[in-house]
Amino acid sequence: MKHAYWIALLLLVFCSLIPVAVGENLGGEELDARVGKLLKDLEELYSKGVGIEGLVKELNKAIDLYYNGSRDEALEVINNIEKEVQALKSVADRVALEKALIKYASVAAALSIPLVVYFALPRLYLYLWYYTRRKWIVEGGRE
Amino acid sequence: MILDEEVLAVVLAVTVVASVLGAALILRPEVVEPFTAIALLNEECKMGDYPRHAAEGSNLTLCIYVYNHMGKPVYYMVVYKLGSAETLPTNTTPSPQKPLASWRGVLGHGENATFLVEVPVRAPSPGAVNATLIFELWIYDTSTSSWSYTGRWAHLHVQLVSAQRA
Repeated sequence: MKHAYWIALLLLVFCSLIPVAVGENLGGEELDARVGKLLKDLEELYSKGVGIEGLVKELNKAIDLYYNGSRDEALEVINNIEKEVQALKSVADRVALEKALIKYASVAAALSIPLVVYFALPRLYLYLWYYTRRKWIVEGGRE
Repeated sequence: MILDEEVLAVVLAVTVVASVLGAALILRPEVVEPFTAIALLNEECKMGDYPRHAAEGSNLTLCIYVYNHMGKPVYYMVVYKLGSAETLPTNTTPSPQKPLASWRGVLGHGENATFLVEVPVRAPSPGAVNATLIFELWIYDTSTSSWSYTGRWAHLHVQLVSAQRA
């Protein structure tokens, strides 16, 4: 009788622990928190000009898997995305610098067009003017 | 000077305007007015031909369209609620009705998602002959780590009929 009491107590404790353990691994809020944290990193990467289309697709896949009952698979996909995000974070600053350089170089090029036109257009026009008349013969002259 | 000075001045003026405009276009922010959008489509994922009647206790198949123009990726959630014309959400507050189902996903900037949903239909209150199917769009706020209502929703009014008539 005493043993039965202890077994029943142990079973009760064991059963109450099962949902807690599952919930801690990937409950709805847990998934939101993990996706939210990843999203913060993705926002940062996107703002620095890093392409994140593939990661967004993978994250969607993880969410679909989770809500279709494949929780472990979803967790694995999320872990892989986290690793990839960490790798991309290390090159994000370089990408941001490259993008900024291209952007400001484009602005400088656009703003220098009037200067180029001011100096080059009269010379180009002069060159073309003479080029189109290169076979002309000057006739007449002093009587 | 072979090239007329007035002609050069006009060409230069046009060039200056064009170059300043070009520079402004390069420097402008990618998204001036961020927004998200949600739309309700029929079961063929097309606009129109929405069901007008539904049997109480039955399921309706509809299609949801979500679009992200926030200038960043978003984690969205479409929340389904059943209510009436009096319990519709507003631009600032969600419907007071209880959520019955939700669908989540992630969208990059400029991306959209279209997906089929099957939603239960029942009377929002005992004896009600009409029901309003409400779909609210929520996005996950990464700064507060919580869901926030976007102020965007789509709804469909249906008349409840007996299962035999439907």
